Amino acid sequence: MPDTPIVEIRNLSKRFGDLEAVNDVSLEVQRGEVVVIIGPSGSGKSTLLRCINRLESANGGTISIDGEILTRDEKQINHIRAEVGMVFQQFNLFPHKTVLENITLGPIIVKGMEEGAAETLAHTLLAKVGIPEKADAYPEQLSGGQQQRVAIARALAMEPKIMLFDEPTSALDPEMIKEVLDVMLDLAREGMTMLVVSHEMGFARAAAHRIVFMDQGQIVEITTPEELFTAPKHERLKRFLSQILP
Amino acid sequence: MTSQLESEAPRPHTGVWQDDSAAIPRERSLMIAWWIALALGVSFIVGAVVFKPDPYSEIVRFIGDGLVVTFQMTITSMLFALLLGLLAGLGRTAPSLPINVAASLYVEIIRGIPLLVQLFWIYYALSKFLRLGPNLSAILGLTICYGAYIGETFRAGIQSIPKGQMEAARALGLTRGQAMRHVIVPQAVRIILPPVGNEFIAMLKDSSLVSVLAISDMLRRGREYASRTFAYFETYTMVALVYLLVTLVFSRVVHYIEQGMSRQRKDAPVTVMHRLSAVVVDFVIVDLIATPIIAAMRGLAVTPAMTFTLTAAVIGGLTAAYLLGFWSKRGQTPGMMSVGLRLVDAGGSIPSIGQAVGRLLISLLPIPGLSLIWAHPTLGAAPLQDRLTRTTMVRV
Ligand SMILES: Nc1ncnc2c1ncn2[C@@H]1O[C@H](COP(=O)(O)OP(=O)(O)O)[C@@H](O)[C@H]1O
Ligand SMILES: [Mg+2]
Repeated sequence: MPDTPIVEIRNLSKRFGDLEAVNDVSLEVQRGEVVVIIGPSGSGKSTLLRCINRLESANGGTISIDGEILTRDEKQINHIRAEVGMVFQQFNLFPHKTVLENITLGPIIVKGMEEGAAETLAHTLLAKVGIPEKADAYPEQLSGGQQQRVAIARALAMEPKIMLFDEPTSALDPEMIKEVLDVMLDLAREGMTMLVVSHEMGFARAAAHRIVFMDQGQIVEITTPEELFTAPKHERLKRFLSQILP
Repeated sequence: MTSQLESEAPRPHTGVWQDDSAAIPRERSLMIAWWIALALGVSFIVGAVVFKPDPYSEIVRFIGDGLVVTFQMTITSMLFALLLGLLAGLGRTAPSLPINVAASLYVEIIRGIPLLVQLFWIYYALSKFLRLGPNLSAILGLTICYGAYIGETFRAGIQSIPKGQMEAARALGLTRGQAMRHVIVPQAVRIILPPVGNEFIAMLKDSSLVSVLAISDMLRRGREYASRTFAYFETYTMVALVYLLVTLVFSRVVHYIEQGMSRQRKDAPVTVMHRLSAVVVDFVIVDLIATPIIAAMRGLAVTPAMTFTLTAAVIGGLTAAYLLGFWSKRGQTPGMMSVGLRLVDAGGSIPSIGQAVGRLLISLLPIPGLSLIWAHPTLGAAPLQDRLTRTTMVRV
């Protein structure tokens, strides 16, 4: 059944107290698709991503990953999380572990992989993200761009079906943004399914199949990179674009 | 309507490794004061013993015996207090409400009662139902009291780890327990170590309170001597000075631990003091592990010589296992790690001959654990009960 969407979100709602952070959102992501999510700060983009791997538990609606509907079962949650890679704005590398140990932790603990096999995998991934020489360094010895690339390698080490990126470049100095985006572009070209919250329009244009515009917890418009700039339909999106574009 | 997540955004998290130890002048004056205090203490004791051996040399021998008991009490209680503190700390950060309340209740109650009162209560009041004996009462009192304080230290340490660490671990599929074990606790330990070191020093001093339970610790021994000879000034001066020296040594060790935790892997100069501190820490850790094993084995030994052999075997075996486990695998022991010492670079490459010899020398240092000294037929203390019978109970 190659046509079933790999992520299927139906009428998802998430409240923080009285605040509807995500309000009745539905979205399907196909295998190999790259979806870029944009929208003003506080519009619920992070919350939406975090519901997908259950870092937040939803108040309403359903999410299914590869046909499996998410429940409250701890075992299932851990199993789903192992299949969904996540890259954070703040990298969140483990500062007490070397780069290599950061990458091998998941495979060894969660998948029970042999240490040697995990290290081989880690070296391969480090080469892929362009920093093979940093295996024995500690995160604090790396630049922000390098740290984020390690974070991507760490997520990839679990061989996820989907990768979630939550503003992966917005904590970076401008000169480091490109090195991270290049890694993400490579991933997209290899056919990785990706949900990316980012306002890097260069990346969106080069890699995104669809662009989702969120505002006040809702999906306002879903469009393509081409149409985003030439034919935005909603007034709110037009206003937003005029704010983020130079 | 700005997002809470966004507002924290700009600075990438570099966690506990951040180095903000700018040169503080206070640091220098403290160091000078430390050396002066140490020099004064040592020279007074040495001078008194050399120039006025009567009564000082006898006092030193008399209270030296008590110092061993003081260490014994402190190390044993610290071991249990660490375990209890870990439970309390984990309980105070647990997501489950009942566990959380139970742990908080323990901490609140115990911190609200002075240690001396707790000791009296356990020894005298509790004896209405349960006679624990002085040793057990003392260890129980120190453990329960310090477990609460150390628990709070653990809680603060665990909570100081940024939320993103737990999230990143959970996002990989680790369970909460696995994330605690592999990600949160190892980082928290680095933050917790200096305050726990300070708790150890505080306990060493507070252990003088157990002398009210007729335990022959250093203060008690001093009091016995003084009440027999009426040399109050001489005796209590010596007692005070020995406490001071011991505390000075340990507080310096804690200072290096503090430094080691913040300077971590940067190539700061390593002095002999750092190396000695590392040895003291390893020494205490091996001793902490050895204490219950030795206590259990005491029952097997018939003669004092056998006790000594058994203890030596335990300490030797533990030290070997300890070094093999930590040092040969990671190029550093916990003691070395705690003061920021590392013999090989992070790569863990094969050491040169010079490095290997250096490692061997360092590794030999922590072998004679305190427990070994205690168990020595002549050096060590006779069983506590024996000494108690020698002294008359003084009412306090
Ligand atoms: N843990 C939380 N507790 C309370 N409110 C939250 C929490 N996380 C997010 N919010 C709120 O939910 C809304 C959506 O947040 P978020 O998903 O982070 O937006 P975005 O990522 O689009 O900036 C914001 O108003 C934010 O303040
Ligand atoms: Mg966000």
